[in-house]
Amino acid sequence: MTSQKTSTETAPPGGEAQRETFHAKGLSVAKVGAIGGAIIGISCIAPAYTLTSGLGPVVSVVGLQVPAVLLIGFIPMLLVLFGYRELNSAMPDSGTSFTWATRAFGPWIGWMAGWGLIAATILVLSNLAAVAVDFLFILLSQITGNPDIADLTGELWLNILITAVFTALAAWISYRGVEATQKVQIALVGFQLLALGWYVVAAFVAIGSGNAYDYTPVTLDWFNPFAAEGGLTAITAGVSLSIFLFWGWDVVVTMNEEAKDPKRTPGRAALITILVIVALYMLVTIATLSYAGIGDTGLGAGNPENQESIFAVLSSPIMGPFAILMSIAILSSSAASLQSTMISPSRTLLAMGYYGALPPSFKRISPRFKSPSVATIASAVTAIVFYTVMRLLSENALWDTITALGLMVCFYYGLTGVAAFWFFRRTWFRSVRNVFYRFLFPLLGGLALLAMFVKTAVDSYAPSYGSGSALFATTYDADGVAQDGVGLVFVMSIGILVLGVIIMAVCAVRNPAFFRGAILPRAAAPAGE
Amino acid sequence: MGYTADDRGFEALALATSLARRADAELVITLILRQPSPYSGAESGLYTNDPIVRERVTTWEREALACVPDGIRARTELRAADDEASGLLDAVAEHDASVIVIGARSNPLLQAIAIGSTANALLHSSEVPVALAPVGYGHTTGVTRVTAVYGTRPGAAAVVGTAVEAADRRGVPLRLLSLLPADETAETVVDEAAEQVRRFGGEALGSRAEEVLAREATTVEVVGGTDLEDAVTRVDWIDGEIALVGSSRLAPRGRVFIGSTAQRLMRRIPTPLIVIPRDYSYGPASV
Repeated sequence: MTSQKTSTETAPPGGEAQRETFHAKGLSVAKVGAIGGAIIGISCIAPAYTLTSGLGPVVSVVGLQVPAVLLIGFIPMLLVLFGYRELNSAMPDSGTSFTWATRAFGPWIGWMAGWGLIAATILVLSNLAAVAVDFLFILLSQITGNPDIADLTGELWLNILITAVFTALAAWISYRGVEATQKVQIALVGFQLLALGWYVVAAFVAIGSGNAYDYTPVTLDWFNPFAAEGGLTAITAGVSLSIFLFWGWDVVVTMNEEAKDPKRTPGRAALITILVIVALYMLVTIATLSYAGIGDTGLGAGNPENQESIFAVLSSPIMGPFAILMSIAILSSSAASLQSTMISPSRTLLAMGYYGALPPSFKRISPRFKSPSVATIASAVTAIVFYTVMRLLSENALWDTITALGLMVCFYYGLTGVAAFWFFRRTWFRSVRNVFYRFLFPLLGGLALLAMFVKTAVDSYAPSYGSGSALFATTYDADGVAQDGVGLVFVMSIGILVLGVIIMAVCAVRNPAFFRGAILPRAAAPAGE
Repeated sequence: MGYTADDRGFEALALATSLARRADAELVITLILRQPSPYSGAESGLYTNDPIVRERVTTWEREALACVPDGIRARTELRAADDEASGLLDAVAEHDASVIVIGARSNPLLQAIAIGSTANALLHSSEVPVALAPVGYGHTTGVTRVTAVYGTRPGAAAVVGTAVEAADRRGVPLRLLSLLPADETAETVVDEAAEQVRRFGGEALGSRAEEVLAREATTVEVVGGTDLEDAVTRVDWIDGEIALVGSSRLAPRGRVFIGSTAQRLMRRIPTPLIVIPRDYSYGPASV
């Protein structure tokens, strides 16, 4: 981001533009140091939200080996981020993955990378709104002392209605351009860390006093991914879920002009962020598993009933009356995240409209608020429709959404990594730095994520995958797990991609210029850099 | 002037053009882009260096310049700021501007002029007069008459002085309009006016004022009514006229701070309104 001022001047006679210059003027950009960067990173990850949504599904696939999976989960993402950072400084653009993949691999793959990003962000928007609504009801019941209110979230129509209202509100706020300030962001992050810290301490106190629900001692096995029961299938499923848990971290790495020292600050901020997040995830996971075990009944972390939102179930027994802290932390962080995430799909839709990959109405920018108008409305409406359909299809909509989300992130991050590798092909061996940042890291990370995408997609065809919801299922076992049909996670993720291919084909027929490569032609970074 | 590429922006542009005529002023058409805070997430907002934004802004700038008639110096300027109001205030300070021109937000519930958040912020902090173009304004061919509006209190020296100076420089008729006077007549208004202008702009402007006040084109209206709204509806306005009002007594020295009377006037007066800062002093950069 650069701040600049441009002037175009006309002078009499004739009123013609005599001079057209772009020049930067001393406009302030808030400078961010390493700690500030880490706060931004943590707030984008929103750990209280990701843990409550993501921990259950990870436990359900890898059991006690969650710590191991989390420790390896961020590595492919980190590798891709190096490529992401290189691309971001070479081609800053609202379209990010869409624009970069189009440059590297041409319009068709580029379009699908953009679609993957939009799909992933729309999935997370619907999930964020739903989690915010769940905890709104939980918070209300904690305030009033009436447990019945928390159950209101199970009322389908009420849940869908309020989720839609939350999403629409977030879209309106992001369209109007109201921003969270530094103070608000620090408060939100601080509150999340406080609530999660309290949860961990309270869990260990309960364990120490023998009050744990199902005390399970920590063993070294927890950190050994190969001890997971499901083998490779379980590990890849777990890792692709953990990608979701670390998602959002990219903002720190791509900080440039905002950084106090662009060479060092982003690296340090990313390091602090990842240390804090990994430590937090480890502590919360270990506390949760030792306290509740992975049994599939009651408070057990393996209970399918508890997968959708682990803190909704566990924070009250563990924290007692202070569970209200957790509710506030999750409600505030998911609401804030909902609003800031809304911008991602709308920016990509804007870019796709601008380059002719989508109908031109998507490139509309509001003159008053200087934000994408059609793209923002489209994102919000799609998120609401998607959530409504999912709720109606599956009782475990949130669980399956998170699993599908992990897949989508693997897909577009994977493509982005490989795109970075290919775009910089003429510069790979210009320096030792390039060998790592432009060749090895993005290639390895990209391929790993794409491989995980394929493996998980194949596995998710099974009707029992994820929550056990399936389309075309005719028989169910005693736990309500479908015995035949096609797994809902597969339908959702592959279905979304197939839908993307169809929409892409329609766009290609209607507006072929982009698809001929005429607007955003293939390119490669020049060899000199 | 503050510009957005919508109807409000074009109305403000029309007013700015009208004001700039015969005042030998340069128009700085300012487009504000929000400066995204890094704390709102690095993905937020649209950046000034984004090619998509760049292209759109260039189009907006071209549209604006196309509206400026020949013979008026104008330039566009893109600024990044936390919000529109602070961006405009920065522009005012940098260019030593004599007046800020903005459009009023349309609000179907309120007539003529309703204030948006940007206007509201400027009307409570600007150090230079703030001109508001009413919804639907389109007069660009120059100011036709300058009216100084007094409320129930004796008119502030700054309002009368600025109005006399603006009318005199443009060679257009001056009107002194006193609403809901307690015991004022046209004669007392004129008697006080010259004295007030002298306080505002010194002896030189004071004697100019006596001359202007004596002209046939100068009119004085003292209008009463059951309330302010009622009084305002009895007043006639002509196309291209501008109305000047003062700031509230609550205003910090040297700043615009719109009072409740002026706010009520805004909703009734169909003509552009220029709010003068409290204790505004006479200088070369005048309205």
